[in-house]
Amino acid sequence: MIKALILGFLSFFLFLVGHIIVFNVKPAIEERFVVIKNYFLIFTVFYVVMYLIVRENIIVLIPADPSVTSQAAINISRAINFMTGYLLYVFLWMGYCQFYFFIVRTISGRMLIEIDNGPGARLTKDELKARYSPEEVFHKRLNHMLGSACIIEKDGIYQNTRKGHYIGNISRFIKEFLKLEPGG
Amino acid sequence: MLKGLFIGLFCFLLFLAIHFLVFHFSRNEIKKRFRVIRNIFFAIMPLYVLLYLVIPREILVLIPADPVKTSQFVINLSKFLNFFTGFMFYMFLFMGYGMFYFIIDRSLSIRMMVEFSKAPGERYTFDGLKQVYSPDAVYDRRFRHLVESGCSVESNGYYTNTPKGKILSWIFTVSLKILQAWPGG
Repeated sequence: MIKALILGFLSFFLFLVGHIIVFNVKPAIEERFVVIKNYFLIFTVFYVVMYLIVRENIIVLIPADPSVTSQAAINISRAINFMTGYLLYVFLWMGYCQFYFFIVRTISGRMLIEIDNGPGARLTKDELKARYSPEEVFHKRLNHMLGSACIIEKDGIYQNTRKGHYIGNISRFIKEFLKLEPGG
Repeated sequence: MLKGLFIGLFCFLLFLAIHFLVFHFSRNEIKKRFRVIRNIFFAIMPLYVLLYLVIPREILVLIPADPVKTSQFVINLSKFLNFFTGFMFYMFLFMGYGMFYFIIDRSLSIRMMVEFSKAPGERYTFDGLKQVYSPDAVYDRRFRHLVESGCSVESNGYYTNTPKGKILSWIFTVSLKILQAWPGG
């Protein structure tokens, strides 16, 4: 298990370093999440290859005794160890993706930055809206949804695609079930 | 290891069930929603520990340790790692759910798709969308949250960051510049 956990961490660390280098070498990249996804896949392959290459008995805490433990149990244990390390990599990656989208898209975060950068480090609502327009935010989000095929636009009219329809309705159900505010 | 993973998964499913029941059947409006979610998560942590101690180790062990070949120190280390792995599994599942919850609750895109789904023909012009989902109301909500969370204070119409807000602002600034995603938002 330790081998898998170490390789899982290493894969995630290399993913982090790799895609941050790419973002800094090519800052004009538009499809950033495609880069993040591709690096995830690259280091998935890395994890699998390294798991096969690194000998199992290097970092085994409790060696199996074939006279006590069946080969089936040993194989199941190997599969679970492999999956544990891979799931660690996947969970770390998913957590990072959430962090990435939060950092890049947070309105509150941008507001805090604008307030700090304002004259005297303070702004009224109208002053902040002049620097960081709410309508531009809406246009940006609509463009993202067009890019991810959640909506289409024709003659100035926006409409849910099938994908947007399902996301919208499932989200509506969850909000109503949990009695959340309309939100957003 | 299986014991830890199973108990971790069970604790997370129990957290989900309690959270759904509390939110769905609560008669009064829940104001500090994420605090309730967080408290349920913390309340179940001792259950993880208790179940881990109560459930016999031998039930779900694939590879039993041979005390002749494996030192007691290594066996204890293995027990600790198994406990920790299951606990981290519970925590990672909770963190994943937390982010999912915030997306459902605060995402502009999700709200827009919900509004489209309610509209005739699931369509709006930009101005039509603004009628049902006001950009200014989004900002008003964010300003309110900034003040309620202690990130900003408001005085005579001016908003100023608190030390907490300044630290967060610095973190966001550095992260956006490292990721070449400035200015964000």
